[in-house]
Amino acid sequence: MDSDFSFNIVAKYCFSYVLILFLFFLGLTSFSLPFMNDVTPYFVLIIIYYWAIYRPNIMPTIFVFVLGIVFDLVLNYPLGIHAILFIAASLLIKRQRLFFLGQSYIIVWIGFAFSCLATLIVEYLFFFLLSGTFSSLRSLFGSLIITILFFPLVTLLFSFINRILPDTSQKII
Amino acid sequence: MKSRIGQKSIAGIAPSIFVGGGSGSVVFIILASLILVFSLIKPQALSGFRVVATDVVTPVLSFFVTPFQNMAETVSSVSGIAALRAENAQLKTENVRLKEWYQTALMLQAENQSLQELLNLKVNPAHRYITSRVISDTDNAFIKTVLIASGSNDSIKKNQAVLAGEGLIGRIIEVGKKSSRILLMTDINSRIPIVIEGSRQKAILAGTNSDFLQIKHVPHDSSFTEGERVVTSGDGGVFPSGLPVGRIIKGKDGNFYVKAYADINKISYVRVIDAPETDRLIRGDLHVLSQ
Repeated sequence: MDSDFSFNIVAKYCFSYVLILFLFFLGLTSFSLPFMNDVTPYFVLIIIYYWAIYRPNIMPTIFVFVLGIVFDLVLNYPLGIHAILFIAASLLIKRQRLFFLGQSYIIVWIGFAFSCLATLIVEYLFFFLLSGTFSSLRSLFGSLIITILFFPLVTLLFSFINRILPDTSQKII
Repeated sequence: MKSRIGQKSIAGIAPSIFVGGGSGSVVFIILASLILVFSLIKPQALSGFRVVATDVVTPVLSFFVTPFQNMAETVSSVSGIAALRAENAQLKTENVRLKEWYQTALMLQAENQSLQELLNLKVNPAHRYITSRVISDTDNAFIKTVLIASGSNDSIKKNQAVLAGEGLIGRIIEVGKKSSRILLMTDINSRIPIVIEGSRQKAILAGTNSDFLQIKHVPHDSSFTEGERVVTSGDGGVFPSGLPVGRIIKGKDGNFYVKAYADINKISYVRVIDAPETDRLIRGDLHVLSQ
C-alpha cells in the first residue's frame, strides 16, 4: 500500500512534467496558421511564472536552465541568453511568491503581464546591442499580447495539476 | 507497524545548488553568461552541438507540427472553394494561350540547342530538388530561421539554396542527420548576390529582419524601376544563377527595396536545390591565390 502511494505520487509528478514539456515544445513549433506566422506565444514564460509561484519545487533552477538552453538551441538564439532570462525571471518571481499567493487571480495575471513584458524588453534590448538595429516591435508586442491571452487557458490546466499533486508540507507517519 | 513515510520535495533530495534559492540561481546565471559569451565569440564552436540537439528534438517537433499544418491546409481548402470557380475559368483561358506558347517554346528550344552546339557552350545542369517540411519557425523580431525535417540523410548540404512558393527564401546554414536550419533572406545576417533583370545591375541583397530587403553595393548613380524583377546572379558560387528572388518596390521613405516573391511568413514546405558544384570554382589555400 505504501509503494502504491509512492507510485501514485511519482505518477502525478511525471504527468505534471509531461504537460510542462508538452507546452514547452508546443511553443517551439511552427503553427502555420494565417494569423500567427511571426507572432508566437511564449508558453515557457507562463510555465516558469506559474510554477515559481505555486509550486517552486516543480521548477528547480537546473530545469529552468535546461529549458533556456534547449530554447536557444532549437530556435537558433545565441546560446545562453534565454537561460539567463528564464533563471532571472524565475528567481525574481520566487522572491515575490508570498505576495502573489495571497492575491486574486486577476492580480496574478497582471503580474504575469508585467513580468512577460519585462522579459521581452530585456530580450529586445539584448538583440539591439547585438545587431545595432531596432527590430520589429509589431512581432514583439504581438507575441506579448498573445502570450498574455493564453495565460488563463494554460494556468487552468496547471491548476488542475497543482490540485492533484500532494501538498509538499504534508508528512505521513 | 506503519513505516515512516516522509514526503520529500526535490529540495530535500538534490543539492540546493540545483534547486533554487539565490546562490543556486546565481551560479547558473554565471554559467549561462559564460556560455553566452563563448557562443558570441566563437559561434561555430557550438554549431555541432546545436545540430545534434536539433536532430534529437526534430521527431518531437514533427509530432507537434503535423496537426497545425493539417489544420492550416483544411482552413485554406475551405476558404478556397469560393474562389475556385473563378480561378478555374481563368485557368482554362490561360491554358489555351499557353498551349500556343508551348509550341513556340519547343521550336525555340530546338533552335537554341543547335546554336549551342555550334558555339560549344556549357550550360548549367538541371537541378534536383529535395522537398521538405518546416517543423520550427523562429520568424520573430530578432532571428529569421526555420528548421526543416530533412538532413544529411536526405542529401541536404550546407549552403544549398532553398525555394518556397514562387521564389528563393534563403539557404541552408546547419545540417544534421535528420534536420537542417535555413537562414531566411529576411534575416539581418543574410547576404545574397543578385542581378536586376532590366538593367543587369549587380548588387548584394541584405536582410533587414523585415519583409523589405535592402539593395547594397550599387553605384550612387544607379536607378531602379519599381516592379523590376530580381534574380540571383550566381556570383560567389553559393546560389545558382537565375533563381527568382523578388521585385523592386519603393518604400515609404522613398528608397528602393526588394519584396520577395515567396511569402516568407507562410512557409509550410520548402524545396532545397541540390545543384552540383559549379566547375568555375577551384579549391585551394589562400596563400596560393596571393602569389
